Amino acid sequence: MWEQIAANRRKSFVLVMATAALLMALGYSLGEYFGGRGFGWYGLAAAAVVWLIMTLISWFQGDQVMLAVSGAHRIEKEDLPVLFNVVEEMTLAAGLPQMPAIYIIDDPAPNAFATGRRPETAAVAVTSGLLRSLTRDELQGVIAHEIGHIRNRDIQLMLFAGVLAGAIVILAEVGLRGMWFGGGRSRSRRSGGNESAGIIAVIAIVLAILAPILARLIYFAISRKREYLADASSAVFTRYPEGLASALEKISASAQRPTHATRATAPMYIVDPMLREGAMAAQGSATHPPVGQRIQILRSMGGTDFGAYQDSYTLATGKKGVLPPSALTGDGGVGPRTAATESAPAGEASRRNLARQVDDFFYRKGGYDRIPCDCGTVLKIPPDFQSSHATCPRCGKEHSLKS
Amino acid sequence: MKCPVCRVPTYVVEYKGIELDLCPDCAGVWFDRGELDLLLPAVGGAGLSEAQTRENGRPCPLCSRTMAKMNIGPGRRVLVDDCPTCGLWFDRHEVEDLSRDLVEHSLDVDPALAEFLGGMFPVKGEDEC
Repeated sequence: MWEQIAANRRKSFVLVMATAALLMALGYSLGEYFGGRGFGWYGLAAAAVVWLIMTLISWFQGDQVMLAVSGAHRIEKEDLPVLFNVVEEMTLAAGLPQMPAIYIIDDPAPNAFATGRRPETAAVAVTSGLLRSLTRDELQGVIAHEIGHIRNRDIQLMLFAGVLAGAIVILAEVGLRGMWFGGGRSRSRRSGGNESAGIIAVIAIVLAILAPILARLIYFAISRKREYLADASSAVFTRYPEGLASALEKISASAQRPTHATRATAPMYIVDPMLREGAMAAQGSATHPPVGQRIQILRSMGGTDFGAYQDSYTLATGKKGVLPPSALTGDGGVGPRTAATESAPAGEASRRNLARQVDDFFYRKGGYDRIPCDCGTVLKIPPDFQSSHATCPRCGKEHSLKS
Repeated sequence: MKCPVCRVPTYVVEYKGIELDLCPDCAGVWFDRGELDLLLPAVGGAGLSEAQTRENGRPCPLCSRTMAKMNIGPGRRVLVDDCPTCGLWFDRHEVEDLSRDLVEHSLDVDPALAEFLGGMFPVKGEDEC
Protein backbone atom coordinates (compact mmCIF):
# COMPACT_ATOMS: atom_id res chain seq x y z
CA MET A 1 0.00 0.00 0.00
CA TRP A 2 2.56 2.53 1.12
CA GLU A 3 4.91 1.39 -1.58
CA GLN A 4 2.33 2.30 -4.19
CA ILE A 5 1.81 5.66 -2.51
CA ALA A 6 5.54 6.36 -2.59
CA ALA A 7 5.59 5.24 -6.22
CA ASN A 8 2.75 7.65 -6.87
CA ARG A 9 4.85 10.47 -5.44
CA ARG A 10 7.76 9.58 -7.70
CA LYS A 11 5.42 9.38 -10.63
CA SER A 12 3.93 12.72 -9.67
CA PHE A 13 7.40 14.22 -9.85
CA VAL A 14 8.27 12.68 -13.20
CA LEU A 15 4.90 13.64 -14.56
CA VAL A 16 5.23 17.24 -13.50
CA MET A 17 8.73 17.43 -14.97
CA ALA A 18 7.67 15.91 -18.29
CA THR A 19 4.68 18.17 -18.59
CA ALA A 20 6.74 21.20 -17.60
CA ALA A 21 9.39 20.34 -20.20
CA LEU A 22 6.67 20.10 -22.80
CA LEU A 23 5.30 23.46 -21.77
CA MET A 24 8.76 25.07 -21.93
CA ALA A 25 9.45 23.62 -25.37
CA LEU A 26 6.14 24.92 -26.57
CA GLY A 27 6.84 28.37 -25.09
CA TYR A 28 10.29 28.48 -26.67
CA SER A 29 9.16 27.50 -30.14
CA LEU A 30 6.24 29.90 -30.07
CA GLY A 31 8.60 32.69 -28.97
CA GLU A 32 10.91 31.95 -31.88
CA TYR A 33 7.98 31.79 -34.25
CA PHE A 34 6.30 35.03 -33.26
CA GLY A 35 9.26 37.08 -32.06
CA GLY A 36 11.88 35.99 -34.56
CA ARG A 37 15.36 34.70 -33.85
CA GLY A 38 16.44 34.85 -30.23
CA PHE A 39 12.99 35.50 -28.87
CA GLY A 40 12.63 31.87 -27.86
CA TRP A 41 13.84 32.59 -24.35
CA TYR A 42 11.20 35.28 -23.92
CA GLY A 43 8.59 32.79 -25.03
CA LEU A 44 9.95 30.28 -22.58
CA ALA A 45 9.82 32.88 -19.81
CA ALA A 46 6.24 33.74 -20.70
CA ALA A 47 5.29 30.07 -20.60
CA ALA A 48 7.02 29.73 -17.23
CA VAL A 49 5.06 32.67 -15.86
CA VAL A 50 1.77 31.22 -17.11
CA TRP A 51 2.71 27.91 -15.55
CA LEU A 52 3.74 29.48 -12.25
CA ILE A 53 0.52 31.45 -11.94
CA MET A 54 -1.65 28.48 -12.83
CA THR A 55 0.30 26.22 -10.49
CA LEU A 56 -0.04 28.66 -7.62
CA ILE A 57 -3.75 28.95 -8.28
CA SER A 58 -4.12 25.19 -8.44
CA TRP A 59 -2.12 24.75 -5.25
CA PHE A 60 -4.06 27.23 -3.20
CA GLN A 61 -7.40 27.22 -4.93
CA GLY A 62 -7.35 24.28 -7.31
CA ASP A 63 -9.91 22.18 -5.51
CA GLN A 64 -12.15 25.19 -5.16
CA VAL A 65 -11.82 25.96 -8.87
CA MET A 66 -12.54 22.36 -9.76
CA LEU A 67 -15.61 22.34 -7.53
CA ALA A 68 -16.79 25.71 -8.81
CA VAL A 69 -16.44 24.52 -12.42
CA SER A 70 -18.55 21.51 -11.54
CA GLY A 71 -21.21 23.67 -9.84
CA ALA A 72 -20.89 21.93 -6.47
CA HIS A 73 -22.69 22.89 -3.23
CA ARG A 74 -21.06 22.26 0.13
CA ILE A 75 -23.27 20.24 2.46
CA GLU A 76 -23.34 19.78 6.22
CA LYS A 77 -24.64 16.96 8.36
CA GLU A 78 -28.16 18.35 8.73
CA ASP A 79 -28.53 18.72 4.96
CA LEU A 80 -28.00 15.09 4.04
CA PRO A 81 -27.52 12.93 7.14
CA VAL A 82 -27.27 9.64 5.24
CA LEU A 83 -24.49 10.83 2.95
CA PHE A 84 -22.69 12.49 5.84
CA ASN A 85 -22.77 9.29 7.91
CA VAL A 86 -21.47 7.19 5.05
CA VAL A 87 -18.53 9.55 4.51
CA GLU A 88 -17.87 9.55 8.26
CA GLU A 89 -17.80 5.73 8.39
CA MET A 90 -15.49 5.42 5.41
CA THR A 91 -13.15 8.11 6.76
CA LEU A 92 -12.76 5.99 9.88
CA ALA A 93 -12.36 2.77 7.91
CA ALA A 94 -9.63 4.32 5.79
CA GLY A 95 -7.91 5.91 8.78
CA LEU A 96 -7.85 9.36 7.20
CA PRO A 97 -6.74 12.12 9.57
CA GLN A 98 -9.79 14.20 8.79
CA MET A 99 -13.16 13.87 7.17
CA PRO A 100 -13.21 15.31 3.64
CA ALA A 101 -15.59 18.15 2.85
CA ILE A 102 -18.69 16.90 1.09
CA TYR A 103 -20.10 18.55 -2.01
CA ILE A 104 -23.15 17.78 -4.05
CA ILE A 105 -23.57 18.64 -7.73
CA ASP A 106 -27.10 19.01 -9.04
CA ASP A 107 -26.82 16.77 -12.05
CA PRO A 108 -29.12 13.88 -13.03
CA ALA A 109 -26.23 11.73 -14.26
CA PRO A 110 -24.88 9.53 -11.44
CA ASN A 111 -21.18 10.07 -10.78
CA ALA A 112 -18.68 11.05 -8.09
CA PHE A 113 -15.14 12.37 -7.69
CA ALA A 114 -12.60 13.35 -5.06
CA THR A 115 -10.30 16.34 -5.14
CA GLY A 116 -8.03 18.44 -2.95
CA ARG A 117 -4.30 18.80 -2.53
CA ARG A 118 -3.81 16.91 0.74
CA PRO A 119 -5.83 14.29 2.63
CA GLU A 120 -6.43 16.94 5.29
CA THR A 121 -8.14 19.34 2.91
CA ALA A 122 -9.71 16.88 0.52
CA ALA A 123 -13.24 17.02 -0.81
CA VAL A 124 -15.62 14.41 -2.11
CA ALA A 125 -18.24 15.46 -4.62
CA VAL A 126 -21.23 13.39 -5.71
CA THR A 127 -23.98 14.21 -8.17
CA SER A 128 -27.60 14.35 -7.07
CA GLY A 129 -28.31 11.71 -9.71
CA LEU A 130 -25.94 9.33 -7.92
CA LEU A 131 -27.65 9.87 -4.58
CA ARG A 132 -31.05 9.39 -6.17
CA SER A 133 -30.22 6.08 -7.81
CA LEU A 134 -28.09 4.24 -5.27
CA THR A 135 -28.94 2.28 -2.14
CA ARG A 136 -26.98 2.95 1.02
CA ASP A 137 -24.65 -0.03 0.47
CA GLU A 138 -23.92 1.08 -3.08
CA LEU A 139 -23.30 4.65 -1.99
CA GLN A 140 -20.91 3.33 0.65
CA GLY A 141 -18.96 1.48 -2.05
CA VAL A 142 -18.65 4.62 -4.18
CA ILE A 143 -17.65 6.85 -1.26
CA ALA A 144 -15.07 4.27 -0.17
CA HIS A 145 -13.62 4.32 -3.71
CA GLU A 146 -13.28 8.11 -3.55
CA ILE A 147 -11.84 7.97 -0.03
CA GLY A 148 -9.43 5.39 -1.45
CA HIS A 149 -8.27 8.00 -3.99
CA ILE A 150 -7.72 10.46 -1.15
CA ARG A 151 -5.81 8.01 1.02
CA ASN A 152 -3.70 6.80 -1.91
CA ARG A 153 -2.82 10.43 -2.60
CA ASP A 154 -4.12 10.31 -6.14
CA ILE A 155 -6.04 13.52 -5.88
CA GLN A 156 -3.23 16.05 -5.60
CA LEU A 157 -1.57 14.60 -8.66
CA MET A 158 -4.77 14.65 -10.68
CA LEU A 159 -5.36 18.24 -9.74
CA PHE A 160 -1.81 19.35 -10.44
CA ALA A 161 -1.57 17.47 -13.71
CA GLY A 162 -4.97 18.72 -14.80
CA VAL A 163 -3.96 22.33 -14.38
CA LEU A 164 -0.62 21.81 -16.08
CA ALA A 165 -2.25 20.13 -19.03
CA GLY A 166 -4.68 23.05 -19.02
CA ALA A 167 -1.80 25.55 -19.30
CA ILE A 168 -0.44 23.69 -22.31
CA VAL A 169 -3.83 23.55 -23.96
CA ILE A 170 -4.33 27.29 -23.47
CA LEU A 171 -0.86 28.20 -24.75
CA ALA A 172 -1.15 25.95 -27.79
CA GLU A 173 -4.59 27.30 -28.56
CA VAL A 174 -3.37 30.92 -28.40
CA GLY A 175 -0.33 30.02 -30.51
CA LEU A 176 -2.35 28.25 -33.19
CA ARG A 177 -4.82 31.08 -33.42
CA GLY A 178 -1.95 33.54 -33.75
CA MET A 179 -0.49 31.52 -36.61
CA TRP A 180 -3.85 31.17 -38.30
CA PHE A 181 -4.38 34.90 -38.37
CA GLY A 182 -0.93 35.44 -39.82
CA GLY A 183 0.92 36.86 -36.84
CA GLY A 184 4.61 36.29 -36.35
CA ARG A 185 7.42 38.56 -37.31
CA SER A 186 9.32 35.76 -38.98
CA ARG A 187 6.92 35.80 -41.86
CA SER A 188 6.71 39.55 -42.42
CA ARG A 189 10.37 40.34 -41.92
CA ARG A 190 11.85 37.63 -43.99
CA SER A 191 9.25 37.30 -46.63
CA GLY A 192 11.43 34.99 -48.70
CA GLY A 193 11.81 32.81 -45.62
CA ASN A 194 15.22 31.37 -44.88
CA GLU A 195 15.56 27.79 -43.94
CA SER A 196 15.89 28.06 -40.17
CA ALA A 197 12.75 30.21 -39.89
CA GLY A 198 10.90 27.60 -41.88
CA ILE A 199 12.09 24.84 -39.59
CA ILE A 200 11.10 26.82 -36.52
CA ALA A 201 7.68 27.45 -37.96
CA VAL A 202 7.21 23.73 -38.61
CA ILE A 203 8.40 22.84 -35.11
CA ALA A 204 6.14 25.46 -33.55
CA ILE A 205 3.11 24.26 -35.47
CA VAL A 206 3.78 20.60 -34.77
CA LEU A 207 4.34 21.31 -31.07
CA ALA A 208 1.24 23.46 -30.80
CA ILE A 209 -0.81 20.62 -32.26
CA LEU A 210 0.87 17.72 -30.48
CA ALA A 211 1.60 19.20 -27.05
CA PRO A 212 -2.01 19.22 -25.82
CA ILE A 213 -2.50 15.63 -26.97
CA LEU A 214 0.77 14.57 -25.36
CA ALA A 215 -0.07 16.37 -22.13
CA ARG A 216 -3.38 14.54 -22.00
CA LEU A 217 -1.71 11.19 -22.65
CA ILE A 218 0.75 11.71 -19.81
CA TYR A 219 -2.16 12.71 -17.65
CA PHE A 220 -4.08 9.54 -18.48
CA ALA A 221 -1.14 7.18 -18.26
CA ILE A 222 -1.26 6.77 -14.53
CA SER A 223 -4.94 7.04 -13.83
CA ARG A 224 -5.87 3.52 -14.95
CA LYS A 225 -3.89 1.74 -12.27
CA ARG A 226 -5.22 4.13 -9.69
CA GLU A 227 -8.76 3.11 -10.46
CA TYR A 228 -7.98 -0.52 -9.63
CA LEU A 229 -6.25 0.43 -6.41
CA ALA A 230 -9.20 2.63 -5.40
CA ASP A 231 -11.62 -0.23 -6.20
CA ALA A 232 -9.53 -2.59 -4.06
CA SER A 233 -9.47 0.02 -1.27
CA SER A 234 -13.25 0.30 -1.47
CA ALA A 235 -13.65 -3.45 -1.05
CA VAL A 236 -11.33 -3.39 1.94
CA PHE A 237 -12.93 -0.40 3.63
CA THR A 238 -16.51 -1.58 3.19
CA ARG A 239 -15.81 -5.34 3.44
CA TYR A 240 -18.58 -5.63 0.87
CA PRO A 241 -17.32 -5.51 -2.75
CA GLU A 242 -20.83 -6.09 -4.09
CA GLY A 243 -21.83 -2.57 -3.01
CA LEU A 244 -19.37 -0.91 -5.38
CA ALA A 245 -19.94 -3.54 -8.07
CA SER A 246 -23.65 -2.92 -8.24
CA ALA A 247 -23.14 0.85 -8.00
CA LEU A 248 -20.75 0.73 -10.98
CA GLU A 249 -23.34 -1.29 -12.86
CA LYS A 250 -26.00 1.36 -12.23
CA ILE A 251 -23.69 4.25 -13.03
CA SER A 252 -22.48 2.77 -16.30
CA ALA A 253 -25.98 1.77 -17.35
CA SER A 254 -27.19 5.32 -16.91
CA ALA A 255 -27.89 7.00 -20.20
CA GLN A 256 -27.01 10.42 -18.87
CA ARG A 257 -23.61 12.01 -18.76
CA PRO A 258 -22.79 14.77 -16.29
CA THR A 259 -23.45 18.06 -17.98
CA HIS A 260 -20.68 19.75 -16.04
CA ALA A 261 -17.97 17.26 -16.92
CA THR A 262 -15.25 18.52 -19.24
CA ARG A 263 -12.26 16.73 -20.66
CA ALA A 264 -10.13 18.20 -17.89
CA THR A 265 -12.33 16.94 -15.07
CA ALA A 266 -13.25 13.62 -16.70
CA PRO A 267 -10.46 11.51 -15.18
CA MET A 268 -11.62 12.52 -11.72
CA TYR A 269 -14.98 10.79 -11.95
CA ILE A 270 -15.58 7.25 -10.76
CA VAL A 271 -16.81 6.24 -14.21
CA ASP A 272 -15.56 8.14 -17.24
CA PRO A 273 -18.28 10.71 -18.00
CA MET A 274 -17.10 11.43 -21.54
CA LEU A 275 -18.00 8.04 -22.92
CA ARG A 276 -21.11 7.44 -24.93
CA GLU A 277 -23.50 4.72 -23.88
CA GLY A 278 -22.60 1.23 -24.91
CA ALA A 279 -18.97 1.96 -25.58
CA MET A 280 -18.48 2.16 -21.84
CA ALA A 281 -18.82 -1.45 -20.80
CA ALA A 282 -17.09 -2.65 -23.92
CA GLN A 283 -13.62 -1.17 -23.83
CA GLY A 284 -13.31 1.38 -21.10
CA SER A 285 -11.43 4.55 -21.88
CA ALA A 286 -8.06 6.21 -21.69
CA THR A 287 -8.65 7.25 -18.09
CA HIS A 288 -10.67 4.37 -16.74
CA PRO A 289 -10.45 0.61 -17.09
CA PRO A 290 -13.50 -1.11 -18.58
CA VAL A 291 -16.35 -0.98 -16.09
CA GLY A 292 -17.48 -4.51 -16.92
CA GLN A 293 -14.08 -5.80 -15.95
CA ARG A 294 -13.97 -3.77 -12.75
CA ILE A 295 -17.35 -5.22 -11.77
CA GLN A 296 -16.26 -8.74 -12.61
CA ILE A 297 -13.12 -8.41 -10.48
CA LEU A 298 -15.11 -7.11 -7.52
CA ARG A 299 -17.75 -9.83 -7.82
CA SER A 300 -15.32 -12.73 -7.97
CA MET A 301 -13.30 -11.66 -4.94
CA GLY A 302 -12.87 -14.52 -2.47
CA GLY A 303 -12.42 -12.23 0.52
CA THR A 304 -12.23 -8.55 1.20
CA ASP A 305 -8.54 -7.87 1.47
CA PHE A 306 -6.09 -6.63 -1.13
CA GLY A 307 -4.90 -10.18 -1.77
CA ALA A 308 -8.38 -11.30 -2.77
CA TYR A 309 -8.63 -8.35 -5.15
CA GLN A 310 -5.25 -9.17 -6.64
CA ASP A 311 -6.21 -12.83 -7.22
CA SER A 312 -9.50 -11.86 -8.75
CA TYR A 313 -7.76 -9.32 -11.00
CA THR A 314 -5.33 -11.95 -12.23
CA LEU A 315 -8.21 -14.33 -12.88
CA ALA A 316 -10.14 -11.73 -14.86
CA THR A 317 -7.32 -10.25 -16.93
CA GLY A 318 -4.66 -12.91 -16.95
CA LYS A 319 -2.23 -10.20 -15.80
CA LYS A 320 -0.35 -9.90 -12.57
CA GLY A 321 0.64 -7.14 -10.26
CA VAL A 322 -2.08 -4.55 -10.31
CA LEU A 323 -1.41 -3.87 -6.66
CA PRO A 324 1.98 -3.36 -5.04
CA PRO A 325 3.30 -6.39 -3.09
CA SER A 326 3.24 -4.51 0.21
CA ALA A 327 -0.52 -4.03 -0.02
CA LEU A 328 -0.93 -7.78 -0.10
CA THR A 329 0.80 -8.49 3.16
CA GLY A 330 -0.45 -5.51 5.11
CA ASP A 331 -3.75 -4.48 6.60
CA GLY A 332 -7.30 -5.35 5.68
CA GLY A 333 -7.34 -8.95 6.86
CA VAL A 334 -10.92 -8.77 8.13
CA GLY A 335 -13.36 -11.23 6.63
CA PRO A 336 -16.21 -10.20 4.39
CA ARG A 337 -19.54 -9.22 5.82
CA THR A 338 -21.46 -12.47 5.88
CA ALA A 339 -24.48 -11.03 4.18
CA ALA A 340 -25.69 -7.84 2.68
CA THR A 341 -26.87 -5.41 5.33
CA GLU A 342 -29.79 -4.66 3.11
CA SER A 343 -32.35 -7.00 1.65
CA ALA A 344 -33.72 -5.91 -1.72
CA PRO A 345 -36.80 -4.06 -0.34
CA ALA A 346 -34.68 -2.49 2.41
CA GLY A 347 -32.22 -1.36 -0.25
CA GLU A 348 -35.04 0.21 -2.22
CA ALA A 349 -36.30 1.92 0.93
CA SER A 350 -32.84 3.28 1.70
CA ARG A 351 -32.60 4.55 -1.88
CA ARG A 352 -35.93 6.36 -1.57
CA ASN A 353 -34.91 7.84 1.76
CA LEU A 354 -31.66 9.11 0.28
CA ALA A 355 -33.40 10.48 -2.80
CA ARG A 356 -35.89 12.32 -0.60
CA GLN A 357 -33.09 13.90 1.42
CA VAL A 358 -31.40 15.07 -1.78
CA ASP A 359 -34.61 16.55 -3.13
CA ASP A 360 -35.35 18.30 0.14
CA PHE A 361 -31.85 19.75 0.17
CA PHE A 362 -32.40 21.32 -3.24
CA TYR A 363 -35.91 22.44 -2.32
CA ARG A 364 -34.48 24.29 0.68
CA LYS A 365 -31.73 25.76 -1.49
CA GLY A 366 -34.34 26.80 -4.02
CA GLY A 367 -36.52 28.53 -1.43
CA TYR A 368 -39.50 26.15 -1.64
CA ASP A 369 -42.30 26.40 0.94
CA ARG A 370 -43.20 23.16 2.71
CA ILE A 371 -46.89 22.69 3.50
CA PRO A 372 -47.83 19.46 5.27
CA CYS A 373 -51.42 18.46 4.54
CA ASP A 374 -53.58 16.73 7.19
CA CYS A 375 -54.09 13.75 4.90
CA GLY A 376 -50.42 12.78 4.99
CA THR A 377 -49.08 14.45 1.88
CA VAL A 378 -46.57 17.29 1.84
CA LEU A 379 -46.92 20.07 -0.70
CA LYS A 380 -43.76 21.86 -1.79
CA ILE A 381 -44.37 25.21 -3.39
CA PRO A 382 -41.71 26.90 -5.54
CA PRO A 383 -40.91 30.57 -4.90
CA ASP A 384 -42.15 31.59 -8.35
CA PHE A 385 -45.53 29.86 -7.90
CA GLN A 386 -48.27 31.99 -9.41
CA SER A 387 -51.53 30.80 -7.84
CA SER A 388 -52.62 32.00 -4.41
CA HIS A 389 -53.53 28.48 -3.36
CA ALA A 390 -52.47 24.90 -4.01
CA THR A 391 -54.73 21.87 -3.97
CA CYS A 392 -53.79 18.64 -2.28
CA PRO A 393 -54.61 16.00 -4.93
CA ARG A 394 -55.26 13.36 -2.28
CA CYS A 395 -57.92 14.97 -0.09
CA GLY A 396 -58.80 17.90 -2.28
CA LYS A 397 -58.07 20.44 0.43
CA GLU A 398 -57.09 23.88 -0.78
CA HIS A 399 -54.12 25.40 0.99
CA SER A 400 -53.90 29.13 0.71
CA LEU A 401 -50.38 30.45 0.35
CA LYS A 402 -48.90 33.42 2.12
CA SER A 403 -48.41 36.22 -0.38
CA MET B 1 -40.33 23.12 -13.28
CA LYS B 2 -42.96 24.50 -15.63
CA CYS B 3 -46.03 22.66 -16.85
CA PRO B 4 -45.42 21.54 -20.46
CA VAL B 5 -49.02 22.44 -21.32
CA CYS B 6 -49.78 25.69 -19.45
CA ARG B 7 -46.17 26.89 -18.91
CA VAL B 8 -46.87 27.92 -15.32
CA PRO B 9 -44.66 26.81 -12.41
CA THR B 10 -45.72 23.46 -10.99
CA TYR B 11 -45.77 22.42 -7.34
CA VAL B 12 -44.59 19.21 -5.76
CA VAL B 13 -46.62 16.70 -3.77
CA GLU B 14 -44.89 14.10 -1.64
CA TYR B 15 -46.82 11.08 -0.43
CA LYS B 16 -45.38 7.89 1.07
CA GLY B 17 -41.89 8.82 -0.03
CA ILE B 18 -42.90 9.31 -3.65
CA GLU B 19 -42.88 12.73 -5.22
CA LEU B 20 -44.85 14.07 -8.14
CA ASP B 21 -45.06 17.46 -9.82
CA LEU B 22 -48.52 18.88 -10.38
CA CYS B 23 -49.76 21.74 -12.49
CA PRO B 24 -52.09 24.07 -10.55
CA ASP B 25 -53.97 25.03 -13.72
CA CYS B 26 -54.52 21.86 -15.72
CA ALA B 27 -53.95 19.28 -12.93
CA GLY B 28 -51.50 17.36 -15.11
CA VAL B 29 -48.98 15.15 -13.31
CA TRP B 30 -45.27 14.64 -13.91
CA PHE B 31 -43.59 11.35 -12.98
CA ASP B 32 -39.83 11.64 -12.73
CA ARG B 33 -37.61 8.82 -14.03
CA GLY B 34 -36.97 7.73 -10.45
CA GLU B 35 -40.67 7.41 -9.70
CA LEU B 36 -41.21 5.64 -13.00
CA ASP B 37 -38.84 2.86 -12.04
CA LEU B 38 -41.52 1.96 -9.54
CA LEU B 39 -44.42 2.47 -11.91
CA LEU B 40 -43.25 0.86 -15.15
CA PRO B 41 -42.53 -2.68 -13.91
CA ALA B 42 -45.99 -2.69 -12.34
CA VAL B 43 -47.64 -1.78 -15.61
CA GLY B 44 -46.55 -5.07 -17.08
CA GLY B 45 -44.09 -6.10 -19.73
CA ALA B 46 -45.85 -4.03 -22.33
CA GLY B 47 -45.02 -0.82 -20.53
CA LEU B 48 -44.99 1.89 -23.14
CA SER B 49 -45.84 1.56 -26.78
CA GLU B 50 -45.81 4.11 -29.53
CA ALA B 51 -49.19 5.74 -29.98
CA GLN B 52 -51.00 6.52 -33.21
CA THR B 53 -52.10 10.09 -32.72
CA ARG B 54 -52.14 13.43 -34.40
CA GLU B 55 -51.52 15.35 -31.20
CA ASN B 56 -48.40 17.43 -31.31
CA GLY B 57 -45.44 16.47 -29.15
CA ARG B 58 -44.86 18.71 -26.17
CA PRO B 59 -41.49 19.84 -24.91
CA CYS B 60 -40.11 17.96 -21.91
CA PRO B 61 -40.39 20.20 -18.84
CA LEU B 62 -36.83 19.33 -17.79
CA CYS B 63 -34.71 19.01 -20.93
CA SER B 64 -37.03 20.79 -23.46
CA ARG B 65 -36.67 18.04 -26.04
CA THR B 66 -39.91 17.03 -27.72
CA MET B 67 -41.61 14.20 -25.88
CA ALA B 68 -43.05 11.19 -27.67
CA LYS B 69 -46.75 10.28 -27.48
CA MET B 70 -46.99 6.88 -25.90
CA ASN B 71 -49.70 4.47 -24.81
CA ILE B 72 -49.24 3.08 -21.34
CA GLY B 73 -50.85 0.15 -19.57
CA PRO B 74 -52.29 -3.18 -20.66
CA GLY B 75 -55.35 -1.62 -22.31
CA ARG B 76 -53.26 0.87 -24.29
CA ARG B 77 -55.93 3.48 -23.73
CA VAL B 78 -53.97 5.99 -21.76
CA LEU B 79 -51.98 8.44 -23.83
CA VAL B 80 -48.99 10.02 -22.12
CA ASP B 81 -46.04 12.19 -23.10
CA ASP B 82 -42.73 10.41 -22.68
CA CYS B 83 -39.26 11.86 -22.37
CA PRO B 84 -36.93 8.85 -22.45
CA THR B 85 -34.37 10.52 -20.20
CA CYS B 86 -36.49 12.61 -17.81
CA GLY B 87 -39.95 11.18 -17.16
CA LEU B 88 -43.64 10.96 -18.10
CA TRP B 89 -46.40 13.56 -18.25
CA PHE B 90 -50.00 12.52 -17.52
CA ASP B 91 -52.82 14.88 -18.38
CA ARG B 92 -55.64 15.37 -15.88
CA HIS B 93 -57.32 12.07 -14.91
CA GLU B 94 -54.95 9.99 -16.96
CA VAL B 95 -53.37 8.52 -13.84
CA GLU B 96 -56.84 7.46 -12.66
CA ASP B 97 -57.51 6.00 -16.11
CA LEU B 98 -54.33 4.00 -15.81
CA SER B 99 -55.29 2.71 -12.34
CA ARG B 100 -58.69 1.67 -13.68
CA ASP B 101 -57.01 -0.03 -16.60
CA LEU B 102 -54.72 -1.92 -14.25
CA VAL B 103 -57.65 -3.03 -12.11
CA GLU B 104 -59.66 -4.17 -15.13
CA HIS B 105 -56.83 -6.30 -16.37
CA SER B 106 -56.41 -7.52 -12.81
CA LEU B 107 -52.66 -7.21 -12.93
CA ASP B 108 -50.62 -7.94 -9.88
CA VAL B 109 -49.69 -4.44 -8.94
CA ASP B 110 -46.93 -3.82 -6.43
CA PRO B 111 -48.89 -3.20 -3.19
CA ALA B 112 -46.86 -0.08 -2.42
CA LEU B 113 -47.75 1.31 -5.82
CA ALA B 114 -51.40 0.33 -5.56
CA GLU B 115 -51.62 2.02 -2.20
CA PHE B 116 -49.91 5.09 -3.52
CA LEU B 117 -52.00 5.37 -6.67
CA GLY B 118 -55.24 4.60 -4.83
CA GLY B 119 -54.42 7.08 -2.09
CA MET B 120 -53.15 9.82 -4.30
CA PHE B 121 -55.52 9.46 -7.22
CA PRO B 122 -58.69 7.76 -5.97
CA VAL B 123 -60.69 6.41 -8.88
CA LYS B 124 -63.90 8.39 -8.89
CA GLY B 125 -67.14 7.97 -10.75
CA GLU B 126 -67.35 9.09 -14.36
CA ASP B 127 -69.59 12.02 -13.48
CA GLU B 128 -66.78 13.84 -11.71
CA CYS B 129 -65.35 15.62 -14.69
